[in-house]
Amino acid sequence: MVLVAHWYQDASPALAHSRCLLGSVRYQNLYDAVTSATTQATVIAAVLYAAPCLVGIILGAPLVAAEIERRTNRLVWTQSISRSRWLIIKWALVAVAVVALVSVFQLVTQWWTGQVVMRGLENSQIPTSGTNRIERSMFGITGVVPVAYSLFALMLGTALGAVLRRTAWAVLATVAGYAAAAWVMLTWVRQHLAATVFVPYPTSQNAQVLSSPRPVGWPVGFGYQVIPGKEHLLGGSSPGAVVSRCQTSGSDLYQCATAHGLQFGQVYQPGSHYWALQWSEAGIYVAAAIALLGVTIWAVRRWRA
Amino acid sequence: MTAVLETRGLGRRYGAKWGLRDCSLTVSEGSITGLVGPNGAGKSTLLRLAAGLSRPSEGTVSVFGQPIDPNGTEHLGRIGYLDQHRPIYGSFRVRDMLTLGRKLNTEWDDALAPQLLAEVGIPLNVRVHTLSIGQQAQVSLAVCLAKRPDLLLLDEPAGSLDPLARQQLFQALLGTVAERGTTVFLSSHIVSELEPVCDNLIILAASAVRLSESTEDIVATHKLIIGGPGIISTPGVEVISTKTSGRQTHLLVRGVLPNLGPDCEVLQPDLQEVVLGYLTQAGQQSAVSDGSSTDSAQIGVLP
Repeated sequence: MVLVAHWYQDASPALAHSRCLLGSVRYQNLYDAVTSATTQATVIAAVLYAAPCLVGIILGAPLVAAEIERRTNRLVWTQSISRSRWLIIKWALVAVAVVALVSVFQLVTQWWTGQVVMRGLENSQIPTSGTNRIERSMFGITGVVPVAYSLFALMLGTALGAVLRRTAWAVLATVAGYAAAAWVMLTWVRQHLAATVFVPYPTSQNAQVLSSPRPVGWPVGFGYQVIPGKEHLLGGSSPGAVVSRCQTSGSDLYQCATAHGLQFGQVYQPGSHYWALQWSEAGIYVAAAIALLGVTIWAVRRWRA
Repeated sequence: MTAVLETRGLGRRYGAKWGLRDCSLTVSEGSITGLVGPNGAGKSTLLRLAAGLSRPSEGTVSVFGQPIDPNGTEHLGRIGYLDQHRPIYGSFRVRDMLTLGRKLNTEWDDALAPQLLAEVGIPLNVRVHTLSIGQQAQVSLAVCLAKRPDLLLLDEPAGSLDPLARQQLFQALLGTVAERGTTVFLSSHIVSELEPVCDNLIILAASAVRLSESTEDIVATHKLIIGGPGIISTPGVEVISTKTSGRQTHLLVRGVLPNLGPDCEVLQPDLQEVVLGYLTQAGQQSAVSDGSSTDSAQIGVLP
């Protein structure tokens, strides 16, 4: 286990556990470096993460709800235009403005995160390969996903406003809904959007792992795998069944699992998967936004005084 | 005469309370029909049902012979609806409101709205929220009228208007009916104003239709009797309302009266007195019972 600890500490700086020099202060990892450099950096990062949700609240929640509250819907829905057409046109104008605004905003954000990454790389002691934008602290504010997030937040606000018919309730519900969606995506979905890479922990048996290059990327979590050539030790059960049996058996988990031909290691999404994950996640959010547009049209057509 | 608006047993319930119940009426083409009644009688409910903004809880409503599809542009294009609250976009300029009307409608008279607004002295380039309530009402009305609909559904259009503006409104309505055969269905509190303008009158009270007739018929068939305390019954005459003050009794009746003798005075009521009589009847009925049946007592005079 001591070997594992050392190995973690000496890993490349793009990982969460790296050493960086920023100014004259040493930091334990890149995230600390980014957020402690100045208070401004912390605030900026927080604002960038919150920005898509704010877009959804400010522009989406009142889109339909305020019309209903102020009764102006009784004016526009008795002109000669159908309610669906009215909604789609109004929403499209706002959506185009949102995409344009967020895209421009993204240019600034890309530059800022690029600066942070560069500073981190410059000041590290160990050479690296690949990008670290895939890790959790950076992924959501770089690339194309912020535009997808803002479209989703806009549509969530509009749909909740149309269903709840009150702007105040739509605001609260949008915040809750957006946070729930983000949590689900981050915890369960994103790591499966591309094939993960498994890197076994160094042990006394496979010391050559220490010398091979470690992938740069986002450490998803702890995992296990069958050692190639030792499948027969499983005795016909699945790796998961073996591990749970070892956990309940009371003996040392590590020894028990190794005896059955399993090895433990780190599951990564390597940095090279950055754009695959970006487009997949953006696609999911945009699909959800389109579904919410359908919900809004249904709610608007269904409204009666 | 084709029926532009027709309802059969129309009702709308809000939870346990009925806003409108068992409403059956017909509005014929090219007529001006007035809808009167106290607050909460169901006038706004009826107009909203006709516009397609509300869904009936029971019964049917059809406009131009078709059941209403609130998302159908066919129906929407032929009606003009003005809500009681006269919703308007405060941050728009007056001319933006006219642009809204032009863009959202297929048929739009570009000259009419500025003309109507010029008559009442409302400039086009000010923001709506800077106008008074009455002026905002006039902007809403101008947008409604410039759409040139075949059926106008106006919920208390004269509400916030000064007497001169009210007169101009009714002139404009009479004009559009004469020129284009528009059907107007409007509600109001002020019966005396409706009298010279309306062909037909509908009295709504306590969520039910009390009377639905042409104004000529109403005036012809109703009489006001002021008499002494003694009264006996006569067949064929319906008592609408009774008011006793001291030694005199005022009766509003309907039907052909026999010769009542010198003790009774028979007067011709104006429309306002007729309406008051029906509203009093509705009030008395709901005070006594659930008001489901009208009293068909008969009158006469003791010799």
